[in-house]
Amino acid sequence: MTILDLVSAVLLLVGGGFFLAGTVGLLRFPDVYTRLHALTKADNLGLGLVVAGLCMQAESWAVIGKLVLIWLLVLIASSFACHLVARAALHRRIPPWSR
Amino acid sequence: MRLTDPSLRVRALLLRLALFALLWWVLTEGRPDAWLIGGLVVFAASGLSLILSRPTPWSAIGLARFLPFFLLRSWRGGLDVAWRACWPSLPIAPVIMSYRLRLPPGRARVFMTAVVSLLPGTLSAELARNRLHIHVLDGRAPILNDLADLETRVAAIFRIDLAAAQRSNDLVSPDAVPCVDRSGRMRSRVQRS
Repeated sequence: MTILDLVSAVLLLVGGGFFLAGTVGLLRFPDVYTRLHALTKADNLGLGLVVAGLCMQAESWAVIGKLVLIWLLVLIASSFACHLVARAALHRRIPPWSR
Repeated sequence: MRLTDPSLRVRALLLRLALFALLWWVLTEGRPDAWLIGGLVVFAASGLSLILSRPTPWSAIGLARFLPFFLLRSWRGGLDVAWRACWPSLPIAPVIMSYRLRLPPGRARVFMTAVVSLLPGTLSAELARNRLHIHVLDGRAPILNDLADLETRVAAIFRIDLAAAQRSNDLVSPDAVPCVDRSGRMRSRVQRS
């Protein structure tokens, strides 16, 4: 196992950890807005780390480009989807949860 | 903002040709025989993109400075929401704030709306008039400075003079105030100064 494999494995595992944390947030957070926080931020960071880990195993620059492109597209899609869901919730007058 | 200078239009065209060529190279993983169709597609896509989205002024330095800032903040944002989700006492105190934008309407505002949702503790919920309604995961955290800082960086990408935009919009300094009460009603129009 080379040092590159090790770094790659660590990135993949930490990335997976963020996906897990995002899912925990989805289950534990109390309302639609807070759940959106968990989904967008934790999952985007998790995917970013997974992509970084996979880039280290990539055989060519084109594959790295493809992986980064996937991450960018997911970032854009999740950011706008999250905005639209939050906006719809606000228009339906769903109150933000508070203690 | 439209570009009137023809040399800038040429620059925009060259830049888009380069970007679409790069995209094609990535998608085909650099296979040489794919360039026969690729050349055609790259030209068609660049032409179409110029029609659908007019070139706007932007700054390479502004963008280059934005990228590390964005990556660092995304990292902090993910970490922040991850520990809050997993901490037993669930340390959150959500509130919806309204932030008065200094950026003029257009691409810069849309860009800012999208980026706000990826940064620590904030989620853009609505863009209305000159205000961005933001759901904040922890209302105790000072977000006004973060938002104003982000806005300055976005303005730098789009070559926008915030001070001038602020004067022409007749605004004073940026502010952020809670705008939705417990029953989910939006407070009657936030006062404009």
